[in-house]
Parts: sequence; C-alpha cells; structure tokens
Amino acid sequence: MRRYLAFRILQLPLILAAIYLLTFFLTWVVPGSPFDKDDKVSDKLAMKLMAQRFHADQWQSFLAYYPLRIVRGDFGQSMQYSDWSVTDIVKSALPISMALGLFALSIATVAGVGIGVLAAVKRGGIWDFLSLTIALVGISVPSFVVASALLLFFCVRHPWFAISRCESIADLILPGIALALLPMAYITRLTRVAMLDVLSSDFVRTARAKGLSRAAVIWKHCLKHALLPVFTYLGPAAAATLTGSFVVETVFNIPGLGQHFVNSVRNKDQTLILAVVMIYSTLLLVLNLLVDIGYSLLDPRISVQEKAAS
Amino acid sequence: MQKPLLEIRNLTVAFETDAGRIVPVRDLSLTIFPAQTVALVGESGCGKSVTALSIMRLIPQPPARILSGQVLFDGRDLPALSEKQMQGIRGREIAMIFQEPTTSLNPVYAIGEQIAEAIRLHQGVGRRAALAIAERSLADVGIADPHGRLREYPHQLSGGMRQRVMIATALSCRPRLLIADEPTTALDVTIQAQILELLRKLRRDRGMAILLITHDLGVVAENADVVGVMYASRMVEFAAVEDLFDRPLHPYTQGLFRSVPKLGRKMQRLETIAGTVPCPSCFPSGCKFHPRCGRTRELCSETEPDLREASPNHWAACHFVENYSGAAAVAPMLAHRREIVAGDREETAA
Amino acid sequence: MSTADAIPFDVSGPPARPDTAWRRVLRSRRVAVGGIILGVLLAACLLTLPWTLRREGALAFDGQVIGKSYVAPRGDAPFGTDILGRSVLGRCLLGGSISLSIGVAAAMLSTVLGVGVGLLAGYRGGWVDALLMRGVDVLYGLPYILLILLFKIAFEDPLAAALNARAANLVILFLSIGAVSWLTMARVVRGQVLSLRSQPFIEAARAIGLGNARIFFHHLLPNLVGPITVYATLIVPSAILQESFLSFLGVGIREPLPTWGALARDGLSPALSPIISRWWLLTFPCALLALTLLCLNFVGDGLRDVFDPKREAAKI
Repeated sequence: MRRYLAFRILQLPLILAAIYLLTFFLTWVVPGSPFDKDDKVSDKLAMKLMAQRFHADQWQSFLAYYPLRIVRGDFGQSMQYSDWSVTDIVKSALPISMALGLFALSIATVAGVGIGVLAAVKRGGIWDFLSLTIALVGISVPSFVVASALLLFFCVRHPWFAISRCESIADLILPGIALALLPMAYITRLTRVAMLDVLSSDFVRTARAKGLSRAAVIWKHCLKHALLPVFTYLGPAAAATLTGSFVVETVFNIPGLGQHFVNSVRNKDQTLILAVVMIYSTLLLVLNLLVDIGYSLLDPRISVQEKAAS
Repeated sequence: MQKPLLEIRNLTVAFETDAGRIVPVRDLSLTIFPAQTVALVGESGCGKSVTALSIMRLIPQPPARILSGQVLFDGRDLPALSEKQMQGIRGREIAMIFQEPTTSLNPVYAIGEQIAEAIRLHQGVGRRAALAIAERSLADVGIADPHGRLREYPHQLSGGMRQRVMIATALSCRPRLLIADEPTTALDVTIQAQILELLRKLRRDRGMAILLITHDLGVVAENADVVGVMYASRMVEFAAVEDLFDRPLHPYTQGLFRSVPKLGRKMQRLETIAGTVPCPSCFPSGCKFHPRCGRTRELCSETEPDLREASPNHWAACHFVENYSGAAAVAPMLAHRREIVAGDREETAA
Repeated sequence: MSTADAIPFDVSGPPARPDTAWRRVLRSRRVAVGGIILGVLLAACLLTLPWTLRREGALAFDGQVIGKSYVAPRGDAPFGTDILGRSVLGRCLLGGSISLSIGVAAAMLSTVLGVGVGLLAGYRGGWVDALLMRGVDVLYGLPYILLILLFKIAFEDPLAAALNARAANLVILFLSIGAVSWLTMARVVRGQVLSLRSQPFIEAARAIGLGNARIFFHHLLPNLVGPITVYATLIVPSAILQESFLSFLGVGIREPLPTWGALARDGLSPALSPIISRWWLLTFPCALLALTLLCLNFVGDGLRDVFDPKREAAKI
C-alpha cells in the first residue's frame, strides 16, 4: 500500500509537468508568442517587463524559466490588467472561489445523501419523487439556467437577496444552490442506488435479527456502504463544481477565480490562463489522490493496489 | 407437564405479489419445548425459511402478511406485539443464525463490534464491558485467541469461523430459543460436524431450545429430538426422531428415506421421488403431494389431509397412512445417532 | 384423467416473438416520450431553416427591425423580440439547429476517438492499456471546460486564417468539445472488450481457426454496438451542455449566429433589469435548452436500461 502511495505521489509532479507543457503549448506557442505579436490587448510595458524577467526572447527559454518562477509563487504580470500581477489576482480571487465551491459541495453532499437515503428507505413516497426530480433537473438543466432562474426569482421579483455582494455567507446561498444542483443530482442517485443495494444484504437481516431498530440498521450498518460510492465521486464532483463556478460566478457577479479565468480567455491573457490552469489542476489532482487514499482507509476489504488493479 | 416454549398454531403466511397471492406457509403447527431440538426438514422452497423468518417477524410486512394463526412464545402471541416489543425479543429471547455466514456479517465493521452491538443493545452495558462479554462468547464457541480476533474483519476469517462468530453473536445474550436456518449447508463437511457438535454442547450447557432448519437427513438424525417434515407449504409429518426414522408414515417422508443411498449394497440406480416440487403459484388441488405419490386415490386429489395423530405422538397428514418397509435404509443413521447421544451423555456426566 | 393436466409444471415452449433489444427499446416509455418531443423540436428547427437562416423576414435570425425593439410576446412575435427587433422565435429555432448540430458533430467525433482508444487499450493490454487508462484517469479529474477553452485558444486563430472566421468558429467548437468528451466511451468500450476477450466463445472461435479480423468484425463488434449506441447518445446532451456553457460565457459561438446558450447570455441582463424585466429573452432559450437536454437524457437513460439490464436497479 505504501509503495502504491509513493508511486502516486511521484506521478503527481510528472502529470503536472505534462499539463503545464500542454497548456503552455496551447496558449503560448500555437497562437504565437505575445512577445512578438502586435496585439492591441496586451500592454507593451508589461510585456517588456515579462520578457526581461523570464528570458522570453525565445519561447523555449521562456518555457524553462517560467516554472521556476511559478514555484517561487511569482506568476508574472497579467496581460490584461497592467497594474496587477497575476499573483495578486489569484490571491484575492481564489479564496472566494474556494469558499463558494466548498459551500456548494457541502450542500450537495448533505442534501444529496439525505434525500438519497430517504428515497431508498421510503420507497414510492415523496422522497422518492423528490430524488427523481432533483436528479433529472440537476443533470439536464444547465447551471446558468438555474442560476438565472434563482436570480430572477429571488433578487428581482422578490428581493430577498442582494446581487453581486460578497461579504457574508448569506450571499453565497443562492450561488451555492445553483452550483450544488449538478453534483447533488449525482450524489442523490448514487446514494439511492447504493442504499437499495445494501438494504437487501444478508447482514442487514442479521442486524435486524439481533434486535436493532430499522433506524439503527440504516444509519449504522447501511450508511457506510452507501457513502463509499459517493466518496469516490468527490473527485469528479469537485471538477464539476469547478466548471459550474465559471458560469455561476458570472451570473451572480462574484469576483472569484472562475470569472477572472473566463475574462482571461476572452482577452487572451496568457499568464493568467496558465496560472489558473496550473492551480486548478494541482487542486484537483491532489484531491483525487486524497480521495483514493481515503477510500482504501474507509473500506477495510480493499487495499489500494487491489482497487487500482480493478 | 412442561409448558411449551414456542407454539405455532395454524400459521398461514401470504405474499402479495404483482402476479397474485402466494401462500408459502399454510396452516402450520409446531411445538418446541425448552431445551429441545426440533428439526424442520424439507426441500428448497417448501416454506421452512419463511416459517423461521415469520417467527422473528423479519419479513417486511408488505409484501408478506400473516393471514391467520398464532405464534406463541412463552404464551405471548408474537405477531400481535408492537415492533418495539419485537425488537426486545429478537436477539435476546430468540436468536437466529443464517445459512451464509459470509454475507451475513457486515464487511466494514470488526467482528468484535458486531457481537458487542447486540450485547450493548440488550444488556445496556458500555462498550468495553460489551467487548469483554464478546470475547468470552468467542471463547465459548471455540475460537482461539479471542482477544486478537475481536478486531479482525469478516473477510479475514474462514467460513467455519464466520459461522462460529455468528453463533457467538446469537448466543451472547443467552436466548432461550435459537433458530438455525441451514447453518452448515455452506460449509465443508468436517466443519459441518464441528459446528453441529458445538451447537449440541451449547444447548446442553445452557438448556437452550433449537429450531434447526435443514434438508439434510443425516443432520436431523444426529441432532434433533423432534422432527417436522414440510412439503409445499404444509407440515406433513411431525414426530420424535427415533419414531420418525423407525416408522415414517407419510409417503413423502418414506420417499425421502428411500432415496438415501445405501452404502455397502450394490445398487443399479438411485431411487428418486418422481416429479418435481410444485411452485407456490401452481399448487395442485387436494393433497399437494398426490401427483407424486405412489398410492394416490381419488380422495387425495379432492381433499387436503389434515395433520392427524396417526399413532401416539406421531402426526401425519395423509388419508391413507401405511407402514414403511425400508427401515434398513436409515438404520445406519439411527445407529450413528445413538452413538452420538450416548457420547453426549458421557460428556455431560463428566 | 391425470392430475398432471391440471398442473402446469412445465412452462416451456418458445416465446411468441423474439424479445430483441430493439423491440425493448421501442417499448420503453422513456425512449418513446423523449424521442417524440425531440423529434418535434428537431423537425421544428430544421424545417424552418429556410426562413431562419436569412437576414430579413419574420423569422430571420438577423432580421433587425428598428421599430420593434423589446417587444413582449404577442401575435406577430410569438416569443417576443430582442433589443435589435430580431424575432426571438427565429433566433431560438436557428439556435436550436446550430446547438443540436454542434452536439451531434461533437458526439460523432468523440465516439470515433473513444471507440478507438477503448479498442486499442482493451485489445492490446499491457503497458499500452495502462498508459492510456492512466491518461484517461487524469483527464477525468480535470474540468472539461478548461480543456475545451485551451483547445479553443490554441487553434481558433490559426484556423481562422485558413477558413473564414465564422466557419472556423463553428468548426473549432465541435472539434474542441469532441476532443474532450470521449473519456467515458473509451472506458466503456475498453471494459467491454476486456470482458469479451475472455469469453469462451472467442476462444472457441480461435480454436476453429478464425483469424483476428474475422473474430473482430463478426464476434466482437456486434457485441459492442449496444453500449456504443447508448453512450454516443449520452454524449450529445453533454456536448450541447458544454457548448451552451461556452456560449453563455461569451467564448463560444460568435455573433450574430445564435445558439441557446448565447441567447441566454444576451437575455440575462435585460431579463434581470429591476426596472422592466424582459423575461422572454431569457425564458425561452433556457426552457428549450432544458427541455432538449431532458429528452436527450431520457432517451439515453432508456437505451441504457435496455442494453444493460443489471442497471435496472439504478433506474430512477
């Protein structure tokens, strides 16, 4: 197990390097380096500074020196905001995005698991119907539609919430719900299926034969089994939340990293693009690794190697 | 006259399915006295497991329904109790072990926890005390190094050991009745013998009654005091074991005994009972066994025979009870049984 | 009279008609409902193309009428008009055609890529398989949008130099979406190939002397058609969703061509304006998008239930 872990941890910088190379190639090389292009968007002075600091006369040397800078935390100058360094932008925007993302994932997990369990236990009732609806809506309706609808209803028609304010947790509620709907749909579905599976297991019958109440059996014996697939889903859930954040931040006008990234794509701000891709990739890869480790801890039957082999 | 511990009177259980109503247990009557082992024998699908689960009320009440009859445990009608009262009885007064020990234990919890769970529930002790009791239970069922085993997971144990753990769990709260639903069917023959011996020993030490469900006549011979034979949802014969093996009265029982391979004698073909067990949705009219019976007559296809006392303490559900001429076939089983019983008596005396 | 007549012990005899997968598909209620609604939408969008693909006319996507700015839905403008007086209905219809075609094109590309990778990994095994699957694992963990955007940034300008800007825009959209949506298909195909390879009937085929090509085309491929169809169908809504995301963010389709996502983006601020809410600009594109995606998912789910009966329990 430890060997597999070491192997995975070693892979991490390799994968990041691959992503870096790919991103660099796609953003700097293919469209042409900004340093030798006469583009109205980028600031000449900023580019000059960058060219100096990063040995950017040839893109090859730039490629080599930029990572050194990144590792030291210096992402360079933003191409579109000449007064701001990318590091500053990231520092101000990342915490907001992370707060929103974590909030949304928490809602998705808690609500999703709760509804999924209830739907499985009380078959055919209102919880079943609710889980069905959420699953359908979450998977089919794009998050910007949900976000717009929420905004339309709760901010314009009945102004209970303020728009584009980002000071307290309350401001995160609406965007959080909009963002949570897609992962919640999957989590509800996964939990419901897993619960239904577990409820017909033999060991549930044994637990009942011991005299445990239905509630105790569900929460003590079944829940752990139902949570395992949800746990594995956390990796893709985080990726989905990230994707959704671009849109939700735009709709609700939240100054998070997602919105900045979208703007940077629109304005071809290469340094910011590269920085965001690297940050997000690192976050997701680390999260996936943690999930893999966590899963093998949760389920005593499986050693991490066995799971990798399956 | 001792009072019966468990008395099932005319129990009928029905399942409401999309395809209509199925009645897997019909008009079943059974009596178990304290410290007695009653075996319930029959082929797959005859309703033995449903009977056992119905005693414990472990079948969900839709789609199952107890249509009529009583299950009196110590005088209390179990189907009439509330769910909460039933939970107090399960595990404490009546315990049950199942056929598949592999899947009957939760794989994500250590076995110590799973045994302790029942103890904490019924005896109200703390976790540490419960684990201590669990450890003693493991020792009682013959598991070496019980303390170390407490923390192990089910997948780390062999099949025989898992079944011992199940028995330990079931017995940890000292129930008065143990229902064992084919406890050794999934195990090797040698392990089978060990487990059954363990059950006999525990029964002696604790004065516990056992309802042993099995399809194996050898197991019945060696372990049971009283035997009930089930066929197609009904009890067709009920008698003390020696009596049954000596003089089976019902044609089905006789057929079963005839099909036992006779070792040491030259045989051309194994004997079988012609036909197959009917499925619950297409039971024949009248006596359910009559299509396969060698001596069926017109009455058999019209009226279903009741369980009547054909000779003292020997009930059979047949219109035309006849004597059986093949006692030699099961004589080895009976002989073996007498050895075992004698052996057990020596152990008790020792 | 023997009592055996009364007892149907033996319910043998061949079924009246073979219950093939396709028959079950037609019986599935979900496929029926979803399919019909989709059919109607598709017909509406495609059949009106001669009218919507114009710059002038009642349904033209770019038919700017000065006096009819921001008209609420009424008789001569069933879905209302936008700020330039363009018919929202016309734009929605053309937008539907474009969204659906991008979705289908991307799905086809993804299918080819996914099946290719899956076959290679499953058939070859060994390090090829390990490498490819590790790659798939990594890509799975990354958000699609990032990858799509990167592709777009890289290749749009060079492509625009070759074709004209508008064509390049469309091509790059379906290429980049197709280039990232093949992951699940690859996994599924690989899984199927692996499980089929070890089946006794393949061994038997080899034992009678059939060559690799024949085994592949005659034995393996027919067993793959089912899952491939199912997952190809499920890529379409995913692709449409990606495209709508991109267009909504302003990095998708270029003006003035509409797609539902772009229409939603255009309609967001006018609809949310606290003074006068021009709700029709947002509601219709969003509703059509949601409806289409719902139906596509319905059909895909229905197909999946038919082809993978073990998933019956997962039916929601």
